Amino acid sequence: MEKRIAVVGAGIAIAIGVWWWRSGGESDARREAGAAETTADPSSVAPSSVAPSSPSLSDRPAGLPRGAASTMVARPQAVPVDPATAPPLDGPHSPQAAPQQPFTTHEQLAKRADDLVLLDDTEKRLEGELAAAQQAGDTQTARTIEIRLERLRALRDRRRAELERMREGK
Amino acid sequence: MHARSWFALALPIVLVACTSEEEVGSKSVDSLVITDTAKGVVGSFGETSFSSEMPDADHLSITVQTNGMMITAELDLKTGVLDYDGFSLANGENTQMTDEDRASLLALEHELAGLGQGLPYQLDKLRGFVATWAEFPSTMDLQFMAVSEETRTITSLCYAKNSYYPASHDCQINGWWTDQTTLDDVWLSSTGDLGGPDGVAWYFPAGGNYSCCSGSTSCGTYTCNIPYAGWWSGVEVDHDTRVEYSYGNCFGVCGAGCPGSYQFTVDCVNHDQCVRNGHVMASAYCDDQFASTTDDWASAPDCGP
Repeated sequence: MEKRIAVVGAGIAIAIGVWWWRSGGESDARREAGAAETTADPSSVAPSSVAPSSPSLSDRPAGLPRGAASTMVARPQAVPVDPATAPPLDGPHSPQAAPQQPFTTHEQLAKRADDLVLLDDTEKRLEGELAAAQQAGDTQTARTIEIRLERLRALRDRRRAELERMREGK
Repeated sequence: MHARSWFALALPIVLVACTSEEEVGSKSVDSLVITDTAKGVVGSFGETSFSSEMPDADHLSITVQTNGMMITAELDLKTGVLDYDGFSLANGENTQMTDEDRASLLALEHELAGLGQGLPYQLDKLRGFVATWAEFPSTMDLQFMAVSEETRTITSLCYAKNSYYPASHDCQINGWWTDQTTLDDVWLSSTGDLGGPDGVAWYFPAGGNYSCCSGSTSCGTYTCNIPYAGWWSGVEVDHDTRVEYSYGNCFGVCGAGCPGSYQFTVDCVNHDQCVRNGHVMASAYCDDQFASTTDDWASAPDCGP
């Protein structure tokens, strides 16, 4: 009986250890995981917004339903502010600014073409910096620039294809 | 005088390279090191390194390396087009912003903000970029394009400084400009950190229980008790429709850090209102508000302290 308990106990300990190790491993491997899988909306010039992937992970401790009081976190208490230092409630109110004017389709196409030029310019500059780093024997800097160039070229190819599709109205 | 021409004049004065280290307990605390180059500046702060240079008169190029990640910004000053990227230095793969990354960027921002106003163009823009990315949410792609253009993607609120201005966001609770997601009266000012999760104060119209959020990195909703009507700090209100007034911690200024710059914009006040009114900095619900702020550091006017 005691032997069985010892075996079960050891099994539980191993399971906890594996779980602990995996938790840390996931954290450590984050940089290599390719975490962000969202892409920019090709039909927009502005940065794309990203839909919340998991509300429970966004603002609250995992597993804590909205509205439930947390027992794991501190509950800050209110502290009075000296009224003399606070703005007066009847202070001036400014009118709302005019809404931003969205880019027209023609303007979006033009900005995207400008972007391709910027990517081309950046590529040329990085190629020069890479040559200089290689000549100086600075392998670490050279490797970083190579990574940037690789990503930039892939991005430019994607953006060029997106622009073509936009021009074709697809 | 054009901002960029300040650089040549101010460079010898401002860019003092500090190489000393202070020993605090068993930890070595590095100083901010900034070195001028022919095109701008390079430097480091602890394990974080950076560069901000103008390869020619029309382009600004910024890089920051921290926690095994590199983030870059390429800005075309003529067209306002911005290209951002962020990746793992180990293998060049996509990565994401974490609390640790934001903390490193915020620490760098504090050091850069300590240099004061009137900085050379490259250094000033580096501070603005770092301040903005110190608020980067965890769920947004680090590689994207933005356009920086007044009235189209940027709306300055210099005219509203030291006055009340409305701010809103959209989230899982409700859409834009609903009572739950809107503060009617945000006081736009350079008032500093007032304590509590987000450093702001709230005006509670009566004593009683309100919906509050427990922290700036993890929000557990709880009921906070307010003894009597008035301005209170130390707590973060969580979409409570009875609260409409707030101020403090440079509410409406772009980016983390207070004081840093004094770029007040519509996009930045809305993002502040999102992350300070029931959401944390990493919240995906504030991604779209954050995305709208990502170009403001580049071109929004500085409203002054």
